[in-house]
Amino acid sequence: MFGKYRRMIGLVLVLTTVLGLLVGVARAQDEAVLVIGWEQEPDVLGDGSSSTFSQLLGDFYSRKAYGWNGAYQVYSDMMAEIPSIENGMVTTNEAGNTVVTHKLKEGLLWSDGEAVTADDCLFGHKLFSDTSTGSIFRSDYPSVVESLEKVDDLTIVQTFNTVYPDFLGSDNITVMPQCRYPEHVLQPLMDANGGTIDGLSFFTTGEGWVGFGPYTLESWTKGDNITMVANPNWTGQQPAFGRVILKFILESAQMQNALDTGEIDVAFNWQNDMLEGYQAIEGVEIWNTGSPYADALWFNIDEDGNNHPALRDVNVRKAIIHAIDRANITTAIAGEGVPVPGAFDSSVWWPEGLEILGYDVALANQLLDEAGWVDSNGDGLRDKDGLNLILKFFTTPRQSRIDYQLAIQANLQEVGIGTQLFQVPGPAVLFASLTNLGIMASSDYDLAIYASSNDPVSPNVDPSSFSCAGIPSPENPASGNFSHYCDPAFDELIPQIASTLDPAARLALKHQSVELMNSANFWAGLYVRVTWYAVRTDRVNTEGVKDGLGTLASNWFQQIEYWQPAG
Amino acid sequence: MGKYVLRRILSAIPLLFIICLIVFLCLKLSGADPLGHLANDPRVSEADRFMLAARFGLNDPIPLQFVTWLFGDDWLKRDITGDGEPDEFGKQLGVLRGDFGDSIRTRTPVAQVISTALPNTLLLGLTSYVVTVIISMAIGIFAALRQYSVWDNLITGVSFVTFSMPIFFIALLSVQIFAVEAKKAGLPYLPVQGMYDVRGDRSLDELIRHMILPVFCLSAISIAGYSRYIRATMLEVISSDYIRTARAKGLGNRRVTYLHALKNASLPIVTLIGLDLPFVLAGAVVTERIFSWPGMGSVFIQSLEPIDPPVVMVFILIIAAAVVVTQIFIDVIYAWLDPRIRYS
Repeated sequence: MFGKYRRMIGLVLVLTTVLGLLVGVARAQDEAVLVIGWEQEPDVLGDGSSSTFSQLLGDFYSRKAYGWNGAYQVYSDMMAEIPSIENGMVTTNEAGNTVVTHKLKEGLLWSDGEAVTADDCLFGHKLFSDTSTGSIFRSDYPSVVESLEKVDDLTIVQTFNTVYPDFLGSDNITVMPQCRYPEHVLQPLMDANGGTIDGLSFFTTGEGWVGFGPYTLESWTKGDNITMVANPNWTGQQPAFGRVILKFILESAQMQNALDTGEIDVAFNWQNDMLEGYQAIEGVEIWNTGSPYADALWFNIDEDGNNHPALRDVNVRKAIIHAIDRANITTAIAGEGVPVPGAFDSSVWWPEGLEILGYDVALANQLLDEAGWVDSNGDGLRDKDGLNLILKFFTTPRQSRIDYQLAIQANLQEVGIGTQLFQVPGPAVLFASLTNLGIMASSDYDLAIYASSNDPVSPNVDPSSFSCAGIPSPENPASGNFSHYCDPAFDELIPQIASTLDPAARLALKHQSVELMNSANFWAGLYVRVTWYAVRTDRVNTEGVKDGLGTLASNWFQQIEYWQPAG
Repeated sequence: MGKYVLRRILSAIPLLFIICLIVFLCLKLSGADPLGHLANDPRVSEADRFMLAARFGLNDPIPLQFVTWLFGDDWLKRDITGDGEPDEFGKQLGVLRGDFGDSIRTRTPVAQVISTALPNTLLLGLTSYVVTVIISMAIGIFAALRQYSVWDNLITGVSFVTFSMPIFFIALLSVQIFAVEAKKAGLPYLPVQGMYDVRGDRSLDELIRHMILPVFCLSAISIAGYSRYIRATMLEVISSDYIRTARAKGLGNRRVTYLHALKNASLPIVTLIGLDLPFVLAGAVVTERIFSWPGMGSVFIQSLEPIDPPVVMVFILIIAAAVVVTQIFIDVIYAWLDPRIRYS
């Protein structure tokens, strides 16, 4: 019966499709909407996830009590003052333990219009100290926070069970008061769920979400996007974008294409090797921000391991560092403007006049000659007592690290040092424990490129990475001091830094530790793992964006409310 | 026929059980730790990790884990705090009681994860399958009727080239041409990801626009393969005596081709379709990932790193069940296409 109309039906179908294409392309963008490409879908909301892309959401709709800006200075959207010894909010009790007073700002509201009060902080304390309330990542909170007491509706007092100078926590440690969960919403939900947050759709799908941030969650379309709208009850800066959509795009090449076609406005956290592709997109501004993460060249300075004996001489290590043109290699591999870190610790902890070794081939040759490593047989390689200076140089299969290996090999060749290059899987082989015969734990390497970063907002030192006791051994096979750095004077400083409440005294101790570690020269920074951003200038006024980006692991959108539409 | 189908369904139950057991053991014995990625995260304490592992039964012995996957763990009290004392009962009812468990990654019921992704996969998969079957039938028949002509040789060449290309290459190439370069040239261009424009409405025309490239990529390689197969079976059939007889009796060319030849050439094609169709449910892993299509393929990829055993298990179970059901369905189709076939 449709036979005689089939051509007409076919024509109508084709026309509908073509019209659909044109209409779709021509749709006007008349709403202040910001679409951010999100490379990983969050698993759950709140503190039940360790994923960076879940944690990043907090700055949109669930601000913490305290945060750190791009210069690692503490600030707060929630608290009226930053506690310190000077303002009397940090004291020591009779037991010698740290007591901190926190004061909420007046007039703060949850996104549903209810007031934020000290009771919410008490509720957060219960969540973080009582494990029966469900599966969240509590970090150090339950082990160091002894109590949290309400003084009045806006004041709480937090007591630690020890001297605790990092009372606000840090990038890696959660100890600050947890006031970002609304008691009036969650307590009834938990009561109906057997007293636990496990399985609550509040966290798993964002259903009924109430939070404290410039935006509030509107919808989470699994596998596709999270949509947030401006929070009308936000007492801080009102966001200029009425709506922010996080679009999940898992494929990095497609992220770039989506920015090119205008489907998203912002792409971030892409790799250095995509810089050229992003630069080729018209109407897109590109920049990067620093981070605590850096790839570095690590030396194995083990005094009695399978490493090359030359590396036990600090002057040989200095010569190697001098021989590598790190600035130019980084520009060539990681991109223009990517910084070379000077020392393992963040520069905020550097003492004045800290020696940073630069590129100096003549000095490298001189140091090697003085150390007795000379080319005695004219084969182009230095040797001593019949042993050639050839180093076992490892890294993981990451392309940028392989590129660095090759560039460093060429530099070292120029001063008569040979290298054998190896690329092996990281967790399973290179970083595996001594029990699992990990290459580094077994001290069976000379040089290695990998990333291990410090916490830039805390001066504490990780004993398992840098103390004598942290060197992997049959008694301690999982430890991570792969460089085999051992200095008793440095070891003494570690607990002192961790337990000195006075900031000035603590900083002085930290300066000593940085000096000691730096002078051992078992670490040479290669490049900071910057976070790249590409933003469409026809949608976003980039001037208001760059200065407010966070530089810690998960605070990049800490000033999202200040982002402005273009024009 | 009814008895035959019932017998096939009953015999599938032990088969599915064995498949589940093998997949479960493979997952567990592979050493992949669903919480391994938390080991070096300073924000996650050892106690946090232990508790999460305990609540998901990951601290239980492997045989017990399989038992609780099947029968649930609401009868089992586990140590959650690490003090050696049992603290709380589990909450899962087990697969046999209709509870597929919770995803370790998203903490949501697996049934919810699957039910969100499956319709999207079916939409994409079945559309591309219909497109594939229709176009490859047309091309295959067209080429068979013009054997060794210029058209036939051209189709053969294009088929081989397309069939040789990996799907990610076709996907990225088509994105480059129909989206990126088309936009640069000022032409209408296609979206490169998702099911809808997140700024726009969820209208049908939006959906169609977003489906064009993934359907094209999924269909291109299949059409290349299917059309060769259809061409071969058609060639075999149209040279048969009964086709010659039909022509000799004066039947029209169209009637002979589409009624007599095509119906008889369909049996091996139905077999091919029957073998491929269950994998539509699995989603097109590469295509869905490239085009950010929120389907089963995307779920599967995300469930592999870090490994999310409850999701992977149900994923495999669905495919296995689909293979079994499809094979039974194909047997029924056989009987309809060829009345000589009888099952007892």
